[in-house]
Amino acid sequence: MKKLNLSRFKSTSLDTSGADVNSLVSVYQHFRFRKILFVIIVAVILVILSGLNVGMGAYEISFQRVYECIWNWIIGYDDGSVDMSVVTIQRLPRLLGALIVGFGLAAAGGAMQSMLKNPLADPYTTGISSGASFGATIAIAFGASVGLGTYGTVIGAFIFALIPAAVILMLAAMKKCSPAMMILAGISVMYIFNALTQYFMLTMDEQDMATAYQWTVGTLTKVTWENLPLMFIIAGVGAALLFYLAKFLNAMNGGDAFAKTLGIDVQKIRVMVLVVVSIVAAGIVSFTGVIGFIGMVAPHICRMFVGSDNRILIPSAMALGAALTVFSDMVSKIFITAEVPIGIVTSLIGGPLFLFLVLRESKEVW
Amino acid sequence: MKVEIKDLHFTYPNTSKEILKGVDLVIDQPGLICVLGPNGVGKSTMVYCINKLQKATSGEVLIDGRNVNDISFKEMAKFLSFVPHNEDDTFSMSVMETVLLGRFPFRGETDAKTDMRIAAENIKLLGIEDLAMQGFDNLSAGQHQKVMIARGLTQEPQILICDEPTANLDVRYQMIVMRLLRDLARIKKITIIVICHDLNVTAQYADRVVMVYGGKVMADGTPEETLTADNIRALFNVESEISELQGRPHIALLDYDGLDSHVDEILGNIQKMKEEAAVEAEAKKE
Repeated sequence: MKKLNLSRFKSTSLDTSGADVNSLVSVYQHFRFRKILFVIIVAVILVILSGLNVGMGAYEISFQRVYECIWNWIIGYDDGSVDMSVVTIQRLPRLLGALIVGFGLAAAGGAMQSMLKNPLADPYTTGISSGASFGATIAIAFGASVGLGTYGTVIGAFIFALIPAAVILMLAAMKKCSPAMMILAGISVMYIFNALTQYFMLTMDEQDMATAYQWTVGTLTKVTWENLPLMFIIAGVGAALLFYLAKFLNAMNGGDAFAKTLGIDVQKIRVMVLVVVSIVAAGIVSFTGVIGFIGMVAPHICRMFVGSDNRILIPSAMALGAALTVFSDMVSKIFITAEVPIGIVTSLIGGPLFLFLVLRESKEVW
Repeated sequence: MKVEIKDLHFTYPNTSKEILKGVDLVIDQPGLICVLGPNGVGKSTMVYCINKLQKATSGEVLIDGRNVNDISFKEMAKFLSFVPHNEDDTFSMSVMETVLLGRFPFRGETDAKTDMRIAAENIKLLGIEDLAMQGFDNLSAGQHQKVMIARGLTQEPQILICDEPTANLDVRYQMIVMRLLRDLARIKKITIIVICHDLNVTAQYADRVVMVYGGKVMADGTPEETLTADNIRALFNVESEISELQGRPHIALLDYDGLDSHVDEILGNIQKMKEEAAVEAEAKKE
């Protein structure tokens, strides 16, 4: 081969003068800071909503007093007041339940959407929630709840939540399976489980039917101090793992081949995300029933503000998901005649909100 | 870095058709190397055997004397980067964040500020600093290509592999991207391997042309040595006239009678399909 003749043409000038590069770096830092600011603002809103939520009810407590009671509870001091017992015994478990449900489902939904590259992905559309509510129904129908108390239902819900997750995992292991196929498979699994749930509900007596019904719509009234630690551990550890996996999800956004050349075991990361999401969703749904839309709407809204960098998206979706759930819980408390299950409220608020966002979106997302 | 491909064979799993039948190639000088060949000839497969996206059935690929099978993806990412053909932009990040992904293989080794500087330098180098904070999904195909090249360079590679970087681009962008790659190869003294389709863009900018045909390297050398009417006929089965333009070969493709047989074949196929459909429709009626 001939020696290369490098002087044949004048080269394009390729200067990388320092000033421009520095300004680009500082513009980017500012750009990132704005995104972090969004997370902080949502977190502040969350704190305010939480205070208002706990204060609401037949026995009203002022915002300031709510946080006084919570502070006392944290430092282990009981002032013996009625406020204190109302806050800590009655209302705090429900608030904490709402927070855990919100951040857990939103983190799961956000990671699922990024991985499947589909804004429709969440624990609900992938069938995990329906599996859980079927498991709960079957446990009630066959009286598992009699022997084991609430935990029988919870265990039933958890086991059946893992079935759709396993289906998706098997599909993911198939090389030719596209993300769209996984969602469609999830939706078909969802239909099957919903039909089975309805069938078993027909065979039940009235009281069991009412219990099973609560599982299909989602409610926070079942959250107690006893089951909070387990819920928190599942959702908290799960969310932390998803946050750790965020940088891999970012790289996988560039396509499997590209991610592979960066040294990422794409298939392994996908399976890890699916397992974590399934456990988080199953863990939450087993205690509260199907609470729809939080997992889909919260990440979707956050994407509009902070973009799709999962390292920011997942924490912001967690904060927003929690805020939306706490807000929905407040709305459900407003109906005085009968307390409306939160699952109905999240769908009633989330549905129109999502529709609005989808119609507003100028460019095609899917 | 030196890349050696020795007697490389490749057969797709579950098929008996051997795509590569003993490729031998040595790349030991930096520069822009264009790989040419007709569709389905195994250009991509050959190049993907270098960055391990495909695994050779037999034969070996050595980088600086080391077999690629002994180099992990993680290690390879530190000296070899890959610019894919195109990229799905659903849920994509901003340009700066996308380019910063190029620092992924070095996480924990360099601090965030250094990473940002390197990314910013490459964004500046490709002249896309105005787009840096925009979403990748808001950009045109040509801008996508530039972002992906900037990301590839942010890995600070010794070898950059680009899969058809000029497909989907209009002629001006094709020229801009190829010239840029040539200049980058010279300035940064790196090896840039590009899978290419356009003969004239290749002739204009390539330092070296590798022609792949029949599962082997058919020709290898400077554009003047390789882009001859004979080689082009052998490679693509088309006639051409070669002249000189700006000191480089210029290829004019000719319309000629030999093309008729191919056109006739296609028209014949269409006619045959129509007839079959008619017969089927008739059968259904009965």
